Amino acid sequence: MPDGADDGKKSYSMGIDLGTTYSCVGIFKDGEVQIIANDQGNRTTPSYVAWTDKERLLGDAAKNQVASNPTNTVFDAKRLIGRTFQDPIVQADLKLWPFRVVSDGSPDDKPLIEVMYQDVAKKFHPEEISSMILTKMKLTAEAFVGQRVRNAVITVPAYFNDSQRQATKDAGEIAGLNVLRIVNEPTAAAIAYGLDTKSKEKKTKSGEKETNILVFDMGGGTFDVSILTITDTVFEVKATAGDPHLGGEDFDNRMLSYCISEFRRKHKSDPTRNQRAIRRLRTQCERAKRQLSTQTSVTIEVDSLHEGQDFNLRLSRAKFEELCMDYFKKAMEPVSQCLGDSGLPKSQISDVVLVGGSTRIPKVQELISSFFNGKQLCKEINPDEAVAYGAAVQAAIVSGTGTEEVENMLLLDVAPLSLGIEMAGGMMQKLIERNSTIPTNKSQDFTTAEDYQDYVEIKVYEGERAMVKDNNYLGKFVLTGIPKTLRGVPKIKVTFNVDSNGILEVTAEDMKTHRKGEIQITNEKGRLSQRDIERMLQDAEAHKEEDDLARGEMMARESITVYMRRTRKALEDIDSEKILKRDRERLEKKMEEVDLWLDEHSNKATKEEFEAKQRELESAMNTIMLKINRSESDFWEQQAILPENEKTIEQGGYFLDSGLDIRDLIEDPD
Amino acid sequence: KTEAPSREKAKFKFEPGQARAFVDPCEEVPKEYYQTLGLQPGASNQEVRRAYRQLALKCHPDKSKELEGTRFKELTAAYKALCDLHDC
Repeated sequence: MPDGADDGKKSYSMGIDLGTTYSCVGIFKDGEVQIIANDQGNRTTPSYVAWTDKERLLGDAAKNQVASNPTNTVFDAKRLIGRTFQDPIVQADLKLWPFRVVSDGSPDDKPLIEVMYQDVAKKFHPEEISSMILTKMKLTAEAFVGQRVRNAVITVPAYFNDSQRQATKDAGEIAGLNVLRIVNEPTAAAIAYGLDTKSKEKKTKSGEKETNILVFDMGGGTFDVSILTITDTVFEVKATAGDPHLGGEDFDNRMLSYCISEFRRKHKSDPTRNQRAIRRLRTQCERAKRQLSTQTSVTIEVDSLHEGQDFNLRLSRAKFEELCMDYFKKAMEPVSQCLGDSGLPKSQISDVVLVGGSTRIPKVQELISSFFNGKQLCKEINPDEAVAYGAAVQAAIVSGTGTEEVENMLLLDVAPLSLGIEMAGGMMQKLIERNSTIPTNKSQDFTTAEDYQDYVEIKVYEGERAMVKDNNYLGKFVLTGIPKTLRGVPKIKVTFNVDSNGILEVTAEDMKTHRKGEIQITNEKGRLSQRDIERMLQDAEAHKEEDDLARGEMMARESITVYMRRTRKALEDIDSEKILKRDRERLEKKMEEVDLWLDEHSNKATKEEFEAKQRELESAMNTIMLKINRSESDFWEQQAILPENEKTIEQGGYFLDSGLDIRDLIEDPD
Repeated sequence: KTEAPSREKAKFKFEPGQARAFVDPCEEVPKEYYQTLGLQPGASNQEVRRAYRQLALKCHPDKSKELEGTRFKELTAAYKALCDLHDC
């Protein structure tokens, strides 16, 4: 199980919470989980990707420029992933997104996101956008551990269906990750809760105590409820329910619509088509929503929103609650369904754990608490980081890179939706019931309905309704190569296997011949083909080169600026007697020249040009340093032996003949 | 849409190429479920749950070399069946 560790070094596996609005990455290191801050110092990263004239931006950099570049800033990929373009949810979301979404025109009707990059329209699958965010999270983790990290556990909402899970896994592959497992978000959060509680109990009497908890996970875009039984090291999911399209963004949208209608009423003009105005207003709505969790009223203000008119509105918490009340109430339905499915009475739930940013909303807390007859809610764990924390633990469990305590843990998760096949008359025959512990399988024997029929078609659906037309069509499996004979004679065993990721696989076997290869299965699940994934992986690699190039330039620019600063400082500090006026003037002249060059070229120079300039500067500096050394040190001291593999300046290294590192001589101004 | 939906026969008409369930008269016996969990028939809910957890820790595909998880799946099937029986 441990992957091919580079050079025998300990390899790490990360846990990524790939959220609708924000993502978070954690890694199990030195016996504990570290939630990793990105290059901006933030422990969560906006799930945003943007294209400017010059470059592609990820995370904070992308979100920060959204108001000035709304049509080329992409977010909400999680609301598109694994869905078709005609999906009513996609059609409704479309109207709110400033970026363009089109259909790929194929029978699969996949949505594509269209952006303009360097004057060319580029189209991306939602999987590709998600892969870019995953790449950002991967880089964050790699910067922290100082080595490559390929293995990852990625979380998805528990109520995500087969296509959405498969698409998320594909996104991981496109990002060049080895996806160890797709884990359900509330389950991951339960691990964080379980470890937290355990550490507090100080392992007094671990024993065989069973604790039932309910995880209420409401984030930016999705909502899940899971009930688990925790016993020492085993986390068993009893039931799960949810809404894959309900979260903080829906509340933002409600506030936004309200603000727009207020603006229309006051100013008799409509800002709806002004993308920039809408984006600015939305940002203020999101901020106001957050403030309303601690304050009872806020003012939403945007200067010169539309046609020179300012926007100004006082909004009370009560008004916000009124605007979103139907959503809040809707969130309570999965709670009762999950409780019913678990077979546990309310009184048996010993803790209700809140996860996800939207659980900070006081009204949401109030509703859950009153549902449980005024129960105190558990707010001990960090709602923004718990999922990534649990994912990191699961990554350590699956890859065997954790401590003994962690590796003894076991997660038993469930499939959120029933899986079944179409039977005569359009009825749904359920094969795998919802809330079945995974991995699980179910075999069913099939035969032919007509004489000499040599193939059968099996249409697979997911959902709870009695008729297939009311459920979600997953795809069809065609079995060919059946021996031609009378109807009812062939016996073909078809096995439906739901793996640990909650993803369905189908295999078939002819029970007469027992030859597995005999029956071919054509999988038409409407997912990306392996070829598509490979092509996207290559595209992503190409992007990486572009990014690396940009990063290389940035580092070279940084390097020369730092060198300039240090040289200036060194020049001040060096005793003027020890340095020839001529040398000093020469260096100063050179620095002036570089300064001017930087002013003019720092935005367009290549990495090589920066490096060449730095070398010019270094050679001027070295002349001085060599002279100082000659006059100062004893001849014998200069014969110091160089450390292995180190080169002298003459050989193109950093070392003086004396063995001194030239970089040490130039003091760091910090 | 040409056929009247009320006709009983129409409901069970097979389309060409459509699959049909193969009926197997053999049914499983609950006694085997206890055996799978290493228990005596009549074990308590508590015992069933504990046995399942302990065995799952050993034969879950995350914990064992058996990647297919056949043993784990059998175990889970037995556990769920007993849970339904005991209402636990």
